[in-house]
Amino acid sequence: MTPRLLLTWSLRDLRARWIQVLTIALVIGLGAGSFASFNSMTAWRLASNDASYEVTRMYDLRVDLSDGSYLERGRLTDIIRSIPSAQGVLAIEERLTIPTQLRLEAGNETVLVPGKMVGMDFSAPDGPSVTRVHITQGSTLGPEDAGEPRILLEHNFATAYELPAEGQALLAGGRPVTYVGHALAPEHFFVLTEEGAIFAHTTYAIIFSTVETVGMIAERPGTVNDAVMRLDDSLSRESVIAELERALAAALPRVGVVVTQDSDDPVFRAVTEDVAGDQQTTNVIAFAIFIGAVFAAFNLTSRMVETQRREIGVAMALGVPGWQIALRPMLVGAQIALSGIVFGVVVGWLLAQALKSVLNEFLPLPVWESPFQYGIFIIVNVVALLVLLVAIGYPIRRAVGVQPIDAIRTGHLAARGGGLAPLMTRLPIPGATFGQLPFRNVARAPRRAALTILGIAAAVAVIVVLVGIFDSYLSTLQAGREETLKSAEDRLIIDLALPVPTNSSIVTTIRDAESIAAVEPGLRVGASLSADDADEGFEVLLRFIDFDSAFWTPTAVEGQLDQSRRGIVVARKAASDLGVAAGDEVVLTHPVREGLASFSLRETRLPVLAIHPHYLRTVVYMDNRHADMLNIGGTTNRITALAVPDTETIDVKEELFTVSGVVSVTTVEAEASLTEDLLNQFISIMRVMQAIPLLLAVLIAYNTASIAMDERRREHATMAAYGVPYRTILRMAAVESLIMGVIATIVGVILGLALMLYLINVILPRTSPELGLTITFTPTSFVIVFVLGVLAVAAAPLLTARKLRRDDIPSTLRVME
Amino acid sequence: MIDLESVAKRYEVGAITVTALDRVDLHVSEGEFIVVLGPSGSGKTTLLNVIGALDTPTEGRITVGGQRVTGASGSALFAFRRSMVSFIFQSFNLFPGLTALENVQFGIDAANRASAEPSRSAADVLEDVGLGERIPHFPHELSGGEQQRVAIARALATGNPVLLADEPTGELDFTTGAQILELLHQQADAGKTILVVTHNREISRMADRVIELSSGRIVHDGPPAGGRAAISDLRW
Repeated sequence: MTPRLLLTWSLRDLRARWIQVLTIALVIGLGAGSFASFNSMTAWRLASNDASYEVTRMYDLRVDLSDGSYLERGRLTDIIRSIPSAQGVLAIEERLTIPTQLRLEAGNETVLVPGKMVGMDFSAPDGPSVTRVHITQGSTLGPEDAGEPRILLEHNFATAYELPAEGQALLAGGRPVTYVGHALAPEHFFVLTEEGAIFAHTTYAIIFSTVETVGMIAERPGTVNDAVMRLDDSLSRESVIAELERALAAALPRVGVVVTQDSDDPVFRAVTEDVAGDQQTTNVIAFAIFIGAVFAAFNLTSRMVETQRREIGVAMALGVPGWQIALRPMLVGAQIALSGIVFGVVVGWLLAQALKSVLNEFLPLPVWESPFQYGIFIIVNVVALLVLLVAIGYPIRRAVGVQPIDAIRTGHLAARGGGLAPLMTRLPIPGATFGQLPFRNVARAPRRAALTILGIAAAVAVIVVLVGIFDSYLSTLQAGREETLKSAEDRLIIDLALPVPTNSSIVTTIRDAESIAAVEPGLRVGASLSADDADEGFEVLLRFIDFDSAFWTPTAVEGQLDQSRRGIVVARKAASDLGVAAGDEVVLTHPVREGLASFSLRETRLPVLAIHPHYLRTVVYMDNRHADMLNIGGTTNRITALAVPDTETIDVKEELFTVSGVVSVTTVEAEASLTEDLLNQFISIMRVMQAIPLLLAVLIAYNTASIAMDERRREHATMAAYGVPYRTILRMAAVESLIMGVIATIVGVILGLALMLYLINVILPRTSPELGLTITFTPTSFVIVFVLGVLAVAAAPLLTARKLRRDDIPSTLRVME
Repeated sequence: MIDLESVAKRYEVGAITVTALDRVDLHVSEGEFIVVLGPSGSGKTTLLNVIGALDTPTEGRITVGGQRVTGASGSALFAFRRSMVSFIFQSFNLFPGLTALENVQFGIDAANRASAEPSRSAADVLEDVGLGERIPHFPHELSGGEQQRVAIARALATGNPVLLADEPTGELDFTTGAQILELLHQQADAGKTILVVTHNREISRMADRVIELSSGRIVHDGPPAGGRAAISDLRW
């Protein structure tokens, strides 16, 4: 046989089954394409992250004073310059960050949100040298803006409200400012509140200004509360951190100072570490899709080789060597695989474009680098080709391995075994032989059925993973929301810039406000929690509340809220991470007031009084009576309030906006809904992603049904000859698919749940350790997945109805084999 | 039982018109055992197919059991096949996923004629064709002759009055083939109308009537030359 004849012959084979070939190529394309595009996304994100953090010169190390502590400008720089490795510190910049509120007009809407103001060094002509801002609209600030009421608005916030590049706004206390541009900064590529709400750019404003301006607004001119620096790459960060900690402890013994690196920044961590976590997640999904495609390809080629059985036998009888006989089906297989790869490139490119636009929308980095990933596409597709060729080669090897006479034999002597059909004879199935046939057909070819089932199961598993992850998120958030809103659901949270005595004028002003009916003072401070002194622990927001509150107290799922004992109430996730239960002790590292504007950090061993059900491990409670351990007993910086009945929240916000020291007025309902709104947006995107495995399942099912229709042509023709209506034949085919759909869906659900558990228990904690997800797969989702999986598969034979009706019964019946 | 009036069947193959049947007139009475004889391409299978409503003639009129086949709707033809004719094929066309008994039961289920012969179960019919011991076996566990017996039992189980057999002995050895023919003959004796298509002239010797086709035309219609032979006299 000449290569030309081989090629022509194999192309004819392809043409004879072009719909099935096209389908399988699309299946392969979906598998390889999703794999390649998901990996492209990872490459883009890594490249874009690197470029974005470089252009904005993200800090390497940060020195942060504890809440409420301030130092005169230049002091931190002097201390940093005094460490032994000071020559390796390339740049230092001091900053002043304060909480505030922002009020402005956005179209017809009045926006009044809490936020924070970051004072930076704009004294150099090109702006800050460490942790710069990237201007997306308008102009930047310069040395001439020092002390002037000019600010930059954070890009995500400004975009969300469609704000112009320039405009007027009011800060807390009613201070008028002019915003002159929109800016992105590396610590706020997405907006994260202190409460842990992510993508909070619509409800939390980040404002950039000069350090001098912020000092004036905070009425602390000439002070700072953090410093950021960039280091020479040759320096060991750990040794510099150790040097800094020693130097700071010696120079500022009564001030709590924390030295962190860029990887400790939650936004930096999320942006960079999410890439690895997301890649693992998407790889699992893409791999499952690809495996489904491989099973489907294997199935199709096996069946194509089976139809060539006699031709293979004839060639063997004519003495053609096995490897030559294998060439034709191998060529067919290779052509299918290549068509799949072409589809893979197209599907991958389309998916990549969609993912790119989603990424751009959700994470607007200053630099987005998204070149076509030739390397990834080549590697993925070469691997796909090799895997497919192996899958194709196996049935071919089996076909040429038999005796020629077995391959040539026709008629009853060629009748094949019944597979597992004999096992089904005792199964009582209603509907006489019409009811039995679909079950027998599935059982008759167990290997084929298994391949089909595994292919569909892989697709179903992907759907389960996607649905399950979101079920878990939603049920966790819903449980958190129910906990937050279980009583006094209209209550307001009023945050103050600093702790003030509960009998101070600011508290009195709030209590006496026309729109306020009742108040409960509390405290909120940053702290960290660990299992013991040696444990590194994690950051928390410690809230001092009244355990006997008339408004709200956390639910104790374990232990009791005991006002009389000095102890702590931690989240379920925190207890799990620390390995403690109610009654055990933990170490709380918390600030202790040392002076008017200085706090030191102290470790205190405390018993865990109770465990509460909130999903964030950062949420920690103590009773107000024990706030004296911070040396700020009798003060408050967070007031829980109830508005006068029939008063709108905006009226309370407006009334308190002009009260100096009030930095935020929000409803607990708004806080509880924030992340939910965001997830709803993600869910709409994930719904699109679910379409891929669903399409895959339909394609695999269609191909299986189509091949089965081909293989059973004679059986169907015999039925038609006996007067069995087409609708009955189709119903039997649909029942056969339904059986496989049910089994595949059950296998897929089990597989998907296992994958989901792996992703939530193993991958998620690496990127979002704060989050304690309750693993959920709701009955509704189960029904949806089951109905989608089963119906899509069961309905597939209906697509072959035309083919069945067009079959020439007499010709089919006369075909010998 | 069967009436064909000027039945023709023509196929277009590219630019060429192939005439498979050319103005065939035929009358078959109830209980006749007829062998349709002819070389390949003579139109004998086409004749069987148009009688059995698997194919529609280009022109002419066909009536079977008083039912007009030509001009009937698609669904009426399906109903006709369920109630009037049953096929026996050269390569048996048994359902490999069903046992011998279930294949026969399929015939009953397809005809949906539960009340026609309530005493005749699928097992009874298999007993009649001598396969009472092979009831639970799947087709691949049966010999060729046994498979064809199951196929005949399936056709009989429908209770339909006309059996159409297309080369029923084509895949069988002489002894088995002879047994199958004897079985079919017994059905004719029992009142069924049997049409057997074959290219084997020896088989035609045992028919009541031989219809010989050549190029789509009936060239002979009458008893076999030399009279009807016993099965034991046949050789091929």
